[in-house]
Amino acid sequence: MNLPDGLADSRSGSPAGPFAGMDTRVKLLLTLGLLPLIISLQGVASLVLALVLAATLLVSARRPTRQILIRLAFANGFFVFLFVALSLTYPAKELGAWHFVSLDGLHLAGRIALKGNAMLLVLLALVASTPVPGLANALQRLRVPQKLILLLTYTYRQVFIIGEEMERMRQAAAARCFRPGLRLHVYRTFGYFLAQSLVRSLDRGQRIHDAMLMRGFAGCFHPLQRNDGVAPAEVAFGVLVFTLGLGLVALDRMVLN
Amino acid sequence: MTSPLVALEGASLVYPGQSGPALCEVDFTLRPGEKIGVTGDNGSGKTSLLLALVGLRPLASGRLLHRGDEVRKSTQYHDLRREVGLVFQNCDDQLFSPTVIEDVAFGPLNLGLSSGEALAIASETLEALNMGHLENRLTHTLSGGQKRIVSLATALAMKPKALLLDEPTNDLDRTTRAMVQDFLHRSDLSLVLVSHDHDLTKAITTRIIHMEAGRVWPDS
Repeated sequence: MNLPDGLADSRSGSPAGPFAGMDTRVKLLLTLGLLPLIISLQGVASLVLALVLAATLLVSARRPTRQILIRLAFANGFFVFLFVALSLTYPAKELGAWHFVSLDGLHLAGRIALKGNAMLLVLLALVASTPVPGLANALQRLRVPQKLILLLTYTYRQVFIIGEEMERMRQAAAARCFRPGLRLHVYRTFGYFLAQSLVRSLDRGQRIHDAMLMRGFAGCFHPLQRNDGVAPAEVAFGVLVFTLGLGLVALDRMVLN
Repeated sequence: MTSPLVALEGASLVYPGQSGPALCEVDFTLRPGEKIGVTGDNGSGKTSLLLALVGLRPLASGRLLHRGDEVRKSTQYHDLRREVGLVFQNCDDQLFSPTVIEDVAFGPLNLGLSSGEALAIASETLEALNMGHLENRLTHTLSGGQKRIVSLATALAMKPKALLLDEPTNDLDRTTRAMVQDFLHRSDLSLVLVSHDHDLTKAITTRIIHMEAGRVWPDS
């Protein structure tokens, strides 16, 4: 199943790499600190430096290369579209060698792509190296509203069940010689898959509610608190990387001025 | 004779949009220490009987009794479900938390225990079922058999007096099935066991009833 990175990771067991064992709260706060800094960068040079910083974090995280490349390819597919669209439509003070290409549009698309990739790399290095249950635990300890955390964790659990159900339906269809193609019968079959999945989800929702009632659920969730401390080295690492981010912003402002 | 833990009196249950009743004037009694097997064809009302016994489906007529008192208020349902646990047929319905330990601790937390106590009970319950090594596993990565045993653990962690089991040996290999059979046989919990596994039913239960078209018949 094609899931966001952290989810795929946690499916295959404990993620490897130095950030995997790091306190998730530090990683989340660092991510929340770094992303606005990257967004605020304007100059190409500082954006390239931000990309280098993010790539360094990702390399140190020792994440599975193939998985990362696939994620990057998906994201950059969108940026290619952006390059084409902005170069043809952005109001231009300057035109390129081909007179219909806006160089300002290309510049803007380039900056957006650099920012987007830097942010994505930070997320892949820091957030995606944490399995979803660990993420939920950290969010809980950061006092994020309980309902949001439960929405994340229960959705996470159900995504796999729905995925397995879709796969079973696909196999059942394949066993009866179903082949995808551009035919009305195929569209209708995919429509049935989707409808079946929705109907089954509704039924399952009822059964899960029953199971919760059977275990004393009375409308209020009681989180399972676990107490793991934050190591001083982890805090120091967080502060160091954040300071580097601040340095990039300062550099960016100096270059712009 | 001891008073019944849970009982149905003249209970009928109808699902919306279905022509016939799922349960038809059923009288059923579960006493402390009793182990009752329920057999019957698919659609005969076995699962509906279990759902009715814990008040998960409202009765069209008849009464649900917990220790002799009719169950009507939500607090009474809560008390009933605290004493009578249900293990669902489909484990994916039972296991809704991302990790095994969180799922098993869900019930104890709802009973007002602290996180530490709930974790201790959850670990102890999993250990009792030889599943301690699965504590930190993600539930969706468990095999069918492991899900089945962990489902049992989620109900046992509530420390119930009775267990209602819907096809508890589905998906189990012979060794695990034997382990479950042994556990249920040795357990002093009251049991209602719905199963197509006749050997298991005969080995564990003290009384067997048969269901047909929503009605209960003593087994011949």
